[in-house]
Amino acid sequence: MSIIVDHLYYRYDAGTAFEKEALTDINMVINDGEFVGIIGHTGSGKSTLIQHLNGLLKPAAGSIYYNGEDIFDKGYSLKELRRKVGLVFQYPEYQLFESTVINDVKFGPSNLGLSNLEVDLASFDAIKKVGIPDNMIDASPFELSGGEKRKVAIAGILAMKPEVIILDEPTAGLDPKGREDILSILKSLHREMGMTIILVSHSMDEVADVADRLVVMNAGKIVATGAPAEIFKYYDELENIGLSVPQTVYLMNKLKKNGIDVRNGIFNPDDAIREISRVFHI
Amino acid sequence: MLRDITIGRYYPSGSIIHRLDPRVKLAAAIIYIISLFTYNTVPVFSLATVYLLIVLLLSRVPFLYIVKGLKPVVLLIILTGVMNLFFTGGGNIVFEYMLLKITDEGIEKAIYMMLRLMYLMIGSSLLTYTTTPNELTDGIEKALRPLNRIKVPVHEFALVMSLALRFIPILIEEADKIIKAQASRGGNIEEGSLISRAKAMVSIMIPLFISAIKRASDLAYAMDARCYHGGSGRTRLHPLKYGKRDIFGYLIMLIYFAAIITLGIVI
Repeated sequence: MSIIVDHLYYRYDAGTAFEKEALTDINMVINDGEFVGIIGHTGSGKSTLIQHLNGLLKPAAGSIYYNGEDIFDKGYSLKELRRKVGLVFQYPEYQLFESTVINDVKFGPSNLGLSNLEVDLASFDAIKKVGIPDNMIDASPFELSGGEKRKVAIAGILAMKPEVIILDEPTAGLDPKGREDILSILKSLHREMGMTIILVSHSMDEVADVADRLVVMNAGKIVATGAPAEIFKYYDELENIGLSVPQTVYLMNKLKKNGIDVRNGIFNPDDAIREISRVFHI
Repeated sequence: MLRDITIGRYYPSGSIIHRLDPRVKLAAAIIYIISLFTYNTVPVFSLATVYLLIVLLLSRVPFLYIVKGLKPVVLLIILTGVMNLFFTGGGNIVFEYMLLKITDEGIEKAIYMMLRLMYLMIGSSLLTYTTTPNELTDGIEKALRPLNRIKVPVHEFALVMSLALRFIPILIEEADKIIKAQASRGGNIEEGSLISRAKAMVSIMIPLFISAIKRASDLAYAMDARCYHGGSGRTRLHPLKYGKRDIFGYLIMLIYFAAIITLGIVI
C-alpha cells in the first residue's frame, strides 16, 4: 500500500515557447512507514515530483495511487489527500502569516472542520513535537529566529496529523544546530510515530544519516534507487550528475585504495570511527 | 495556476519585430492606437485589421497566446459593447422593448468600440510580447531624454518602471508558491464559505506583502552596495542605435498612418 507513482510525466508551460519537460516516466513505490530520501541536483525535478504527491500539480500523463486509489480521479477528495499527505515547502517560514505562533499552527487543522478542542489539542501536540518551548506559543512568529520559524511551519503541517510527511529541503539555510534539530525531529517522527517520511535534499551527508532508502533524480528522471550503502558504491556516477557522496565514503575508499582492509558500505561517521578503531586495534 | 497569466510577458521568438529598436515599437504602438481612434469607417478598420495581422504574423507570437492574454479584459470589452448598444441616441430604431432601444447607429458604434478595444489590447500586448522590459525602459528613457533639460527625472522614472516590471514575474512565482503552500494546509481560495475563503486570502496576501517589502529593501541595499547614484554620468553596455531596419519601420508606420487618414477622408 501507500504511494505508487506510475509512469508520471509533467511539462511546464505546455504549448508555448517556454515548454519544458520537467518529469519523464517517473515510477516509484513508497511503502508505509518508510523514510525515503529524494536526492538530486538543482533542477532535477525533485520539487516538481513531490508537488504531484499531494495533488498540487496535475501530470501530463501517468497516475499516482494513494492507498490503492487514483488521486486524480474525479471523485477523489484532494482536501482529504492533503490532510493525509502533508507537504512542507522549501523555506516554509515565508508562509507564516498569523499574529501568534499557536494561531498559525491552528490554520491547517481548523481548515479541516474539526471542533475547537480538537484543533487546540492537535496544535499544542504538534508544537511540542517540534520542540518549541511553551513560552513562545503566544509570540509573533515574525519575532522568532530562522530555525524556530521553520519548526513552527513544520508544526503547522504536523497539526493536521498527516500519515505521510514530505519535506522539501527542510534544512536549507539553517545553521548546524538548526539542521541537527530538524533532522532529529524527523527521526523521532519516523521511529516513534511510525510516520512515512519523504525528505528531499541535495545533500547526501544529510539524507545518508536518516533515510532507509534513496531515490536519485537527474534531469527529470529517476536514475537510481536503493539503500544508502548501495547507492554510495556508485560515487563516480553520482559525481557526474553533480552529487557528492558523504565525506565518510570518500575517506573509507581512500583507506581501501591504500591497502587498509576496512569493510565496505560504511557511510556514517560513527561507524567509520568504530571500523577504523577495529582495523588499527585502537 | 498563476503561471497561466500571460499579460505583459515577453515571448522570445527572435523575429524581425523582436529585433527592432524599442523606440520604433513604442512609436508604432502609439501611432496604431491613435489610428484606431480616427475614423469609424469600414475601410479604415479593415486596414487596421490587416496591418495588425501582418505585424502579428511577423512577430511569430502564437495566436493562441495572444487570445489567452485577452481573457482578463473580455468582460470590459463586452460591457463597453452593451453600453454603446443601448445608450446611443439617433439613427433608426431596430428593436424596442420598454425603455430599451437599439438603433442601427448603436449597433455600429458598439461593434467599432469593441473592435477598437480588442485591437488596442492586442497592439499594446504585442509591444510587451516582443520587447523585454529592459529594452522597453531603455527605449523610453532614451526617447524622453530631452525632458531632462526641464528637470524631469527621466532616468529615475525609467528605473522605477523597469523595477516594477522586473518584479511582476517574481511576485507571480512567489504568490504561486504561497498559494500552494497554504493549499497544502487546507486553505483554499476557490471553494468553501465566504469567511474561510477570505481567511485563505489573508493567509496568502500577508506572506506576499512581507516578501515584497523584504525584496524591495534587499534590492535597495544591493544597489547601495554597488554605489548606485542615479542617472548622471552612466554609460551603457549596449547603447541604442537606429539601424536600417528601424528606419524602414518608421517609414512603414508613416505610410500606414497616411493611408488611414486618406481612407478616412476619401471614403
